Amino acid sequence: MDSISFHRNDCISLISGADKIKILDRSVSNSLVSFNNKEFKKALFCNTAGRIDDFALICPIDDKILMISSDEFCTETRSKLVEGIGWNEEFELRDAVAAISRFTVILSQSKALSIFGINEIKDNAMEEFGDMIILVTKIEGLVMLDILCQKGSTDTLLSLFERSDINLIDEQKWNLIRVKLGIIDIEDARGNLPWEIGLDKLITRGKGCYPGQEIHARMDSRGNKNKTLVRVISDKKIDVGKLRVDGFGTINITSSFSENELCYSLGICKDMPTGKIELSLDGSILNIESIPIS
Amino acid sequence: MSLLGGEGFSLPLVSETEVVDVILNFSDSAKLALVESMNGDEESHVLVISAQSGGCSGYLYEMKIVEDPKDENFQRIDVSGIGVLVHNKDSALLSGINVDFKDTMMGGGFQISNPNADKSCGCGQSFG
Repeated sequence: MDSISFHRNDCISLISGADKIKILDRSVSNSLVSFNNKEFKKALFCNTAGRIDDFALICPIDDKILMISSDEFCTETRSKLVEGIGWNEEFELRDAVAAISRFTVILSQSKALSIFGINEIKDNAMEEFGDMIILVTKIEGLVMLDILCQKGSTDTLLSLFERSDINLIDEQKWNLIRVKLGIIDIEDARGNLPWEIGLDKLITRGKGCYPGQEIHARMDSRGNKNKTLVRVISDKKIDVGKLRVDGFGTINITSSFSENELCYSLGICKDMPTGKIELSLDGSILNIESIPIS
Repeated sequence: MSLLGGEGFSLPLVSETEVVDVILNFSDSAKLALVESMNGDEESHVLVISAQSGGCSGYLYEMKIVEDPKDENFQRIDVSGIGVLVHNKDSALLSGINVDFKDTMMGGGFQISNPNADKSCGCGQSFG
């Protein structure tokens, strides 16, 4: 696969104040009380039914926290935090959208090491690159780097991409690539339980109450993981929504994008064994593959 | 210069506060329990009722007897001669609540019911 970069449109917030970790921690499903050195965490904001409302990257930088959440639910997520500040707590949330850019880069491990000077590819590591910050995530055989830079440094980064044969792609191409690689976005996650899309690793059992905790505890104790995230490849266009397949069941398609007469989709279906199956639907071929939950 | 450094890095603060006039409803048993809890400190101390994020339903109630903060950002309601304070930022969430007191071995103490809440947690300490 060619190396690619995509300029994301996200909700970027800068959080400060003595109680910032405490307030963030009680609002999300996983524990944020301690961070290892140069580590960022992913976090889920859930509703009272335990379903995902938003997800965020939480990056401790200096004595502040940079939080990156979905653009679509920016106001909702920020309100949850700001409205929940206790009268005697110190917490300030500032809008950093106009100041900081996020580029997602997908490339080989060797290229990541040579271009960005990263010593070791380590999941959830936060690396400094000049005045930029790089968040490292391992994906199957490749590396995903989320590069955070000041708006003023955008041109410097773009010329580095150009010199390094990293193609800047548009949103349509990005969506196609992320679906092919099984990278979920907010449209796949929102409204689903963390188990259904492989995000249950972002639940910390025993951290105490947070929105959705009662439901998560009940599901955990009953061992109910009965849905699977799947990738569907079809030679016919598939729309987002319910897809009924004879002999298989219903797949709730959450993302769907086409390229060269093939349609690539992500969806959620009843538990299926690991691997691929091939089925037919109205004369077209469907390849359904479960996406391993790491 | 770091990612968060440099000139011009002053960012707009996000703050949303709807302020309403607070109404609190205390039952007779809650008034009695409040007077007992104050233990004669009502000249210098007040009860602060507040809401903060968390709990299973989104927000948690908190009740605390503290030295009077004499802060104009609080609304003061007199309950049986005792100052009960609600911060302006919590006013929209807490106005209209009913405060009761139950003297039982299990699950007793001050209890809050909130007619404006869409949902509440099984333990009664969280609402949303």
